[in-house]
Amino acid sequence: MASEVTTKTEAQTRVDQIRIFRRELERLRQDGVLALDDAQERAVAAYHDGIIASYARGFDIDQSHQAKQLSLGMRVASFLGALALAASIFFLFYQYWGLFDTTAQVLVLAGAPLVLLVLTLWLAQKDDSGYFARLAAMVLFSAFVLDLSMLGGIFNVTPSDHVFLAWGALAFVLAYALDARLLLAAGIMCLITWLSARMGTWNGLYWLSFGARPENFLLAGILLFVLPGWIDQRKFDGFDRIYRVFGLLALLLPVLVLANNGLASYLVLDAGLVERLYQLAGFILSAGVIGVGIRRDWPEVVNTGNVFFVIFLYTKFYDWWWDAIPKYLFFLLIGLTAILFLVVFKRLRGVANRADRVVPA
Amino acid sequence: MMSRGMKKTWFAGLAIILLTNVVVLGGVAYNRSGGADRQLVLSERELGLPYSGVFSRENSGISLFINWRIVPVGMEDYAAYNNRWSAVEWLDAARLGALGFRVEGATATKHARERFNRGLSREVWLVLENNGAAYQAMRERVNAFYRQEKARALRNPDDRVLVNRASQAEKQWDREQREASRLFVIDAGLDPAALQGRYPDRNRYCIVRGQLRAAVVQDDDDNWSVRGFVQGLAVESVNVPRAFRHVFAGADGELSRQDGDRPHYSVTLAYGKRREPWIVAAQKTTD
Repeated sequence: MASEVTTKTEAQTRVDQIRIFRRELERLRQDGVLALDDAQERAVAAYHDGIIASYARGFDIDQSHQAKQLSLGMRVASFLGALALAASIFFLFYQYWGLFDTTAQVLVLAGAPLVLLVLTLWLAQKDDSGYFARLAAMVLFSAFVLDLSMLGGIFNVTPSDHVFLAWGALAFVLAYALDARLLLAAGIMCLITWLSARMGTWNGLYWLSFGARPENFLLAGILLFVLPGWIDQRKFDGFDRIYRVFGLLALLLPVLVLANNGLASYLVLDAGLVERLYQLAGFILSAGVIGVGIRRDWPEVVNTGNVFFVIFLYTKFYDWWWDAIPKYLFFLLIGLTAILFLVVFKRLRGVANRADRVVPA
Repeated sequence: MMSRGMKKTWFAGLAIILLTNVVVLGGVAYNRSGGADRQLVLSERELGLPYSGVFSRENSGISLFINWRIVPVGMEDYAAYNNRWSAVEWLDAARLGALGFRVEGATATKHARERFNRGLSREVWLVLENNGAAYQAMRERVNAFYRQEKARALRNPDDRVLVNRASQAEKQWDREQREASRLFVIDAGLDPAALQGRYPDRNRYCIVRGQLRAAVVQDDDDNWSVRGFVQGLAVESVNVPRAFRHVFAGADGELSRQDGDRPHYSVTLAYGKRREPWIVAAQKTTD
């Protein structure tokens, strides 16, 4: 029973289906449409209870709507708690570090992540829900960031982009160990920064200027988008979606920037031509992304593609019409375009609903 | 009993934390091994105190910022106290080309100029000179400007604009003598060893990492020329170890700030094998 699902999301979806099925079965019984005999009811109940119990043990799922609400509250509290504790550690160190000698500073900075690593792993073994372990892991990551940043400040070390590689590596280790999406996102951002800075350096720039050339981000975007296809992420809840969304952001945001500021490009062409090329690329890419997302059933990809397609479209409208027509006409056109999208999506939704409908024998 | 997965996490996390700290601290040890490669004695003019800020009250550490300057192009008619962002006198098109900037055709057309001016900074090695020829040249320039403005005001005593300019010029001259930094960026190169050979005085010059930028500017005679700008040093501030904190405290024992009562001090700043600085000595002075 438990072997058919591999992630908490799948288990939760299955339990939610069982709950809905039970409510619908009761409704059908009350309306006189369907009534199971005692033996069938007992068999179905035993089957479903077994599934729920198994998933509750293996995945810590919410067995009721109220439990779901509380879980959401726990996630918010865990996130805020992690942020607050990280900030507290940061300011605690800043308040007193100048009063320690250098040896004590180094011991505290290097020792804090090690102590927090032990605490995180201990909590991971003791706490079935994983919230406390993930909170400790976020604080550990913050302590490691503080560790390297402060060592750089204490010893006046030349800033280097390689520090992002170290931070990213720890974030990835913790993310995969604890199934922590926030840490995965932190690791991905560190990886994007390091890769983009390297691209800048290979093109002869000072690494801190990497953001001034948006094309530096494109390689990272492509790699992140395709990574879930190379390395199976199914055992980790939502990881594939996070890779794809961050990959698309690293790909489409630079295209959007260059579509409006051709001078920031590496291309040795007229700025206006660069902007037109990237505008065209933006439309093609975002439409392509929507198509891929629909085909592969990746709703996060479809939504991201939609957002960027709309931004590219409205940016174009602004270029064409903002100065050329009265403002009320401009916004009327924007509104009419939105209505057109609504009509198109409604038609597509209708097609999807008809394709899904079960036809009785 | 730890599961296998948790054991792997433990070892991986431990390895990352330990290895990274070892690499950083190893680099520091290497930089400082064998003593200082270069050593400058700087005052509060060259190593400035931090400004007060929202977080400064809750930051018990103290860093001194390296107050470097350049000798700017032109500016014979106006002398600024701190003009580090102006075009540098010795960074012309030929020097910039030697440093890796693609200067050919940069001034030819409007499009070429626009594209060139969007170029970004490149990392190079910079030479800092303490209280040397560059500072003397700057002193003479500011003094000449002061004498010129003073003479104009004397010839036109009723002209309030000229009188004000003369007063400002006098203040600038006074600042230049008493407060202005004597630390100047005087050269740049891609090979630190070559620069070391060219500037052998270990107590007046140091070689540091920094960034340069190039841009096309219009001269006074409406011609376009390629000029260079120093964007910054790789390490712009120096941490003060606990042993020297007392040197930077005010009369009330609180750490001093740039916008408060400033102490006078002398700091010996060492640069090591990796050209990274550290403070080896600091003491209060009377002036």
